[in-house]
This record gives sequence, C-alpha cells and structure tokens, in this order.
Amino acid sequence: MTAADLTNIEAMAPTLTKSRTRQGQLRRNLKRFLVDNKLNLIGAIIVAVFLFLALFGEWLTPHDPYAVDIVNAKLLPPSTDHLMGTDELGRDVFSRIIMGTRISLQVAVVVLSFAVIFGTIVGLIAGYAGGLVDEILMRLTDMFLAFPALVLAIAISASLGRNLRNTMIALATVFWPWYARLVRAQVLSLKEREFVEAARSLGMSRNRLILKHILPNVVAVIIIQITIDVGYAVLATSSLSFLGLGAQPPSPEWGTMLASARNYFRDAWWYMTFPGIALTLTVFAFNVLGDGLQDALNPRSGSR
Amino acid sequence: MANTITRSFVTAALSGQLNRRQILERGLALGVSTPLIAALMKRTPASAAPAPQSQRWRSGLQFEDNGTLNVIISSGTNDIDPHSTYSTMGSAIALGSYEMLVRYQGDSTEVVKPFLAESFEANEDNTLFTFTLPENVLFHDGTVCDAQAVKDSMIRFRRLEMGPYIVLQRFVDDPESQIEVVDARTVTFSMTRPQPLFLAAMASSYGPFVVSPAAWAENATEDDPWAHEFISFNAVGTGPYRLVENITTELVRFEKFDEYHRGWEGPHFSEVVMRVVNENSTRRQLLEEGTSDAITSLLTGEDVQALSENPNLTTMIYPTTRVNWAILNAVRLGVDARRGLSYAFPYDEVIEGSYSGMLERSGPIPSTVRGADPDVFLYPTDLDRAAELLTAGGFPAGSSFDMLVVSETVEDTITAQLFQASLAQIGIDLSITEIDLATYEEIIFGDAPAEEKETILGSWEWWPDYNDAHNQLAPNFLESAIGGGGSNGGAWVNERFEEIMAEAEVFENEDQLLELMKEAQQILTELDPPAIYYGETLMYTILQNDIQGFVPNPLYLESYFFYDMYRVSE
Repeated sequence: MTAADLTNIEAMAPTLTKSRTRQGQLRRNLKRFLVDNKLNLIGAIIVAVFLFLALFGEWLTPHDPYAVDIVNAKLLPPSTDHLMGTDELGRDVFSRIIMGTRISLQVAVVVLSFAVIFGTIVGLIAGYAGGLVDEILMRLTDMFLAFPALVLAIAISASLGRNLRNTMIALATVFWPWYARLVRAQVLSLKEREFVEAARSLGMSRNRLILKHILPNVVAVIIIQITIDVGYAVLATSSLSFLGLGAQPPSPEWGTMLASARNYFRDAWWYMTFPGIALTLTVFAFNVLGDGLQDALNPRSGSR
Repeated sequence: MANTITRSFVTAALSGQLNRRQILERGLALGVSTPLIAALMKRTPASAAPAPQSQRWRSGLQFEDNGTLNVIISSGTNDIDPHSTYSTMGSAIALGSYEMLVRYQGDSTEVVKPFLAESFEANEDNTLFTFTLPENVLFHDGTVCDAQAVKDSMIRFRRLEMGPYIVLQRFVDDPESQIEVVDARTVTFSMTRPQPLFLAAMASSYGPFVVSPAAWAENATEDDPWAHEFISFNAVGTGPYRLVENITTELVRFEKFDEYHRGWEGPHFSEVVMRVVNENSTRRQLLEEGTSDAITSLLTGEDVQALSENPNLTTMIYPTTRVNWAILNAVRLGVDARRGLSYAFPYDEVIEGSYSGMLERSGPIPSTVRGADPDVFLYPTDLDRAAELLTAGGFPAGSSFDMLVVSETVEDTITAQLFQASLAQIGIDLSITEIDLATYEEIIFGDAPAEEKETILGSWEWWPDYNDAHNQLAPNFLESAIGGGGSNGGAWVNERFEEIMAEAEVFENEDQLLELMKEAQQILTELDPPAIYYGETLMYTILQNDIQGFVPNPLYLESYFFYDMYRVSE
C-alpha cells in the first residue's frame, strides 16, 4: 500500500470536518439554533457578554475593585456612583462582579481543559484497547464517579489547602471521569464502523487511526458536553469559594462575595443580589447554549 | 394557694426530700390531717435523707416557673470538663452546672461573694483562707458535697494539669497538704506566702469548679484516673441546673436541679436551652421574632445597630477585660519587621469599620485589669515608618506576608482585608488564608514549630482568668507557653520579660506589681512586640425586654448565671 492509497482512504472517511454533507447540515442546524430558538439566542448573547467582560473587564470597571474605603463607603446602596452598591469594605460591587467574571470563566476553562484532555485520553485508550486495559481504566474511573461530585471536590480542596489553584485541581479531578466515560462510549461505537475497519485493514497505524478517524468524530460530543459543563464548573467553583475552600479574600470571585454578603443581606440586599444574579445568569446561559448546541450538533438530534 | 402548698408538701415528702420530723412540723403547720401525716411518715426514712430544701421550704414555697430561657451560641464544645477546658463555651456550660466557692459580685472584678460557699474569710496577711459550706449541698448525682469533696475536687483540678490549672497552681501547688478539711462544712487553703489574689483566682470561671468525686471515682480507669473522658461529656456539679443534653453542633440543654442548695424560691427558669446558630442573619431573625431570649456577641455591627433600635429588645454594652490582637511569628519576623507591621496596621479603620466602634485602643493589658499602664505605647498608623522598618527587617517593597483568618469570624476577615489594603499601599503583599476555628486553635496551641507557621497568625483575643495582669500575659507571652496548650503561637521569647514575669508572679505589693507590669508592657509594645494590639473589647448582650437579672461582668464573658435570670410578665 502506498501513501497515496492511505490519503485516498482518509479522504473517503466520513469525518466531521471533511464531510460537505455534514457541514451543510451543521450550518442549517446552527441557523435553526440561533435564529429559530430565541432562548438559545439569549443564552448566546449572555455568554458573549460575559466572555467580553472576562476579556476586557479590567478596562470597564468604574472603580478599582480592590480599593477599600470602609470609613466613607461601607455598604452603600446602589447609586449613580456605585451602580450595584458597595460591600462591607466599601468596595464597588459592580466592579467586583465584572472582575469576578474573569475569575469564574478562567477557572472553568482551566478545569475543563484538564478534564477534557485527561478524560479524552483515558477514554480513547480504554475504548480502543478494550480488554484488561479497558477494565482497569474504567474501574479507576468508576472509583471517582462513585463519590458525589461536590463532596469529592470539597474533600480534595480541603485536604490540599484553601486557594483557587487547589479548587481547580479538585474540580478537574471531579470532571475528568465523565469525559472518559463519554469518549469511551463513542470509541466503542466508532471502532466498529466500516471506515475505521477499512483504515485498519489498509495498515494504518493505531495512533494515526485514533487521531485521524476516531478523535475527530468524538469532538462534537465533547464540545456539547463542555458547553454544558462550563455552567456547572462556574457553579462548583462558587460553591467551594462560598464554603471558604476556593478563592480567598480579597478575590472578587462570586462565591466568595456571596459568602461575605450573607452576613449583611438583611441590611444590604444589593450585596447578595447582584453576585447571585451574575452567577445565575452565567449558569443559565451556558446551560441553554449547551442544550441548544446538542440539538444542533448531535447527528441524532438532527431529525427532531 | 393552700392547695398548691399542700400538694408541694406531699410531693416533697413522697420524693424523700423531707425527713419525718420535717413532715410532722410542716404538716401540722399546714393543718394537714393526722392520717395523711401518718401515711407520709411511713413512706419517709427516719433519719434524714438529705434535706437540701430546708431553706426553700422555710421560705414559703414560692418557686415561680419562668419556663425556658433560650440562648444563642455559635458552637458547642467537645470538652466540658471544667478542670480542663479553656474554651468559652466550656466555661459557659460550667457556670450552669457547677459552682466555684466564690464568684465576682455583680459587675465587679474586685469584690467576690459566696457562691458554693456560704461564707469565707481570709486572715490578715492573706496566707489562710477559710470557706464554710452550707448544709446539705448535693451534687447532681445525689452525693453530698462536703469539705472533703471540695478538697478532692481541687486536687483533681491541680493534678489533672490541663487547661487552666495554673489558676490554682500559682497559689496551691500542693493541694494535698495545703488544703485542710476542718470539718464537714469547713475547708481551709493555706498559702506558702501572702496571696492577695487567691480569692480572685477562686472566682475564675476557668477551673476552680467543684466536681463530684463520686462521679469521677465511678468512671475512672487505669489510663484515666481522673475520669477526664467521662467528665468531658457529663456535668456532675452542685450548680442550679443539670446538664441533660449536649449535642455539640446543635444545643446544650439544662433542667432545674430540684435539690439546689440555694432553693428555688422566686422566679427562675426551669429549663435553659443554648442553641447553636451558625448564621449571623438567623441569629438576628430569632431575636427579632422572639424565639430566642439572649445573645452575647456573635452579630455584625449592622445587626447590633438594627437590634438596638428594636423596641422589644434591650441592648447592653459593657467593658470587658478582653484584648484583641494579631499574633506575629517571632521566629520568622525580627523586631524591626514586627514593629513595621505594627505601624502599618490601620487601627482606626479596623476599630470603626471592622468592629463598629466596639474596641478601644489598648496594649496587651486592658484598662479594666489591675496592672494596666495608662500610658502604654500605642502604635499610630504610619506607613512611611512602616516601610522603613520593614525594609530594615528584610521586607522591602515587593515582599509578602501571609495571614491566617478564622473564617467564622466576620470581624477577623474584614480586619485582614483592611490590613492587606494598608500594606498594599507600601508595595507589600498580604495573602490571607481562611481556616476554621478548630484548625486555628490547633496552630496556636499546638506543638508545630513556628518556622512552619504563617508570619501573621490571625486575630487572637484573650482575657484573664481573674483580675491580674500576670495572668493575662503569662499564657500568651512566656516561653513556657510555646506549644503544649499555651497560646504563645508565635514563639516569642524575651529574656527581660521572663525575669519580670517571674518577679510579678510573687509580687509583694501593688506598687511593685505596677512597676513591673509597666516595663513588661513597654517590652510587649514599643520595644519587642510579639503582636499587633487592636484594642480592648466592648461587648454587647442583647436580651428580650422581659428577661431580667443579667448583670454583665467584664471577666465572665459570653456566659450567664442562669439562676439569677428570670422573665417578667409584661
């Protein structure tokens, strides 16, 4: 077999990226996703706004989010000067929420990057190798899945120490097994497909086959899962911070803000309300976007 | 009324609280018919079952049941052994179930009055103290509390060598020979030299409680001869209330001890519940809706402000003997660095913003304690001077410190952030780590070397066991208080301070003590500070308007004498 033969085989394989039919379907689904479904559009806009704030927030904050003025500005209600009021140290809540956006999304990106990479590798190996390797890797995965996710994250975070880095480690540990399971399931199905069989019978190396034919077909499912998980990652980060296990003062992380605000909610409603709204909106938007993307990208949902 | 009296009389007789002679006397006085008296006498032992109620019955059977007193607390404690616990909650529980021989009178930190003892006296040179017990005092387990029980209890306190044992050890190092049982009701404590502070120490709410010897004898083991494990969870004292429930994370519940030696005439609560409430806002809500009757501390300044304007509540603000400070790690920080940090601390902002004005600047000894220097050196906030000293101490701009903060305490968290902002102005970074109280106390009291600890060990607060400067300083700053349960968590050692404290421990007159303490305070502040002193605490207690009888005392903090409290009908 020559290299040209292999190239031809690859060209014939129904990968997502190279399939014109699929691309056309994708465009149609995306149009339907954004235009026809107003909820998806709202979700996408909110996500876009938060991404914008995360990227450029530091130039948009009206006040220094860390500047303390406890004597003159402690727990001031919303006003033109402080759109969302001030906290117990006299810091501008609006500016802190903007800065908190970056922290929340940054954590989500780091956590999911690790979880996706590690989980995908484990899933690919387990699914493709099968047999004893599959058994060992899946039992290992099951061990992590056996614990309630947040409880496991709390335990890891508490034992490693209270800071944002350890929170990320804890959450990544909680998230990766789901990706391993997801990818493995896809691989088990894909590896029996004809185009994979064909590539294998033509002598394509195992690594190349995985990278060129199997992995690209798993990507869509992973993307959908990531979109849904961003919201959960943000929520989990805030939960750990709320419990004092995540971001530490003076970090404007939303969970940390909520934890401080609960002491004042009887006298300063704004302090708890606005970080709560920011958190709710983010989780809502990413969930809506994830669901919408699932409809748009998942081939099985195309006919619906 | 007559029926009530008769019924009470019958109940007491049937429960064995009266002997036959008492039944005869009172029965006749009440005009109860002869057959009933005869029947009751048959059910009653001939010789006196302990008759602790004699005083009560003589007084006319006027117990007025005020129901339940509901008090809010922040947490329970796993050790309620009054001879070992140094926790606020342990002391608060002990004051419900146990008694010291004497206690401070009202809001005084100088004058003591009888508590378990009926009377007491000291000889002229304060070398011999005599306590007389009332008749027929019973422990909650039904055994008699006599002079021997008092002696045995003090021996246990001394020999257990835990927590606050120095309260007794300073005066009575050898209780077996220094304490003498004169007769069943009289016990004497002889000192090896004049001890004018002995009575003050015996009024401390940390340690000198009388515990039932029978209770620990029954539960002692080879490994635990003082039954510390049993007494850590069971209270067997002579106090007015029996501990009936102690769930650390939920509540502590007491019930009236019927045989209490002071009797139950007048208005008293028959039950006291100390309920653990974790959230500030919930605490406030419980007070506003009248579900809880009392709280001391544990609220934000905003909550106190709001509750003080509530017409249904009474807010009492009073001075204490407590000082708040941040412990500095003396092993990792030299003198210049510690002085620099003291200059960098934003005192005014912390007092106003973090403590809502409930602190007054002070050194390590509060103005309410004997030995406080009114002219003690107080650091101003001076960032230029701070930068200069920190640089000299090896911490130029760009350096960083780390600080522990107890996450449950709102004031500590705010204080740390204010300090962080202040240090940031001179280019110094302060990283804050929040930890829970139990972990924090382990770091301060534990044996881990200071090299492994943070540079700034959180916000500490301390008040003396009794009104004495030496007692305030010794557990915090002596070399012997490093590790092993002492709170010199920053491992600070100063030779001259050690000499001063050794002299102060055996002071002969007040002038000498004041002179020594003045020098000690100069070392602790201006010359070689082991801590950053925020100030002395003003405390608040908030009560429902119908709760009466609470008298705040600067030494008995975050605790109540439940027996003195009652509810008035509006």
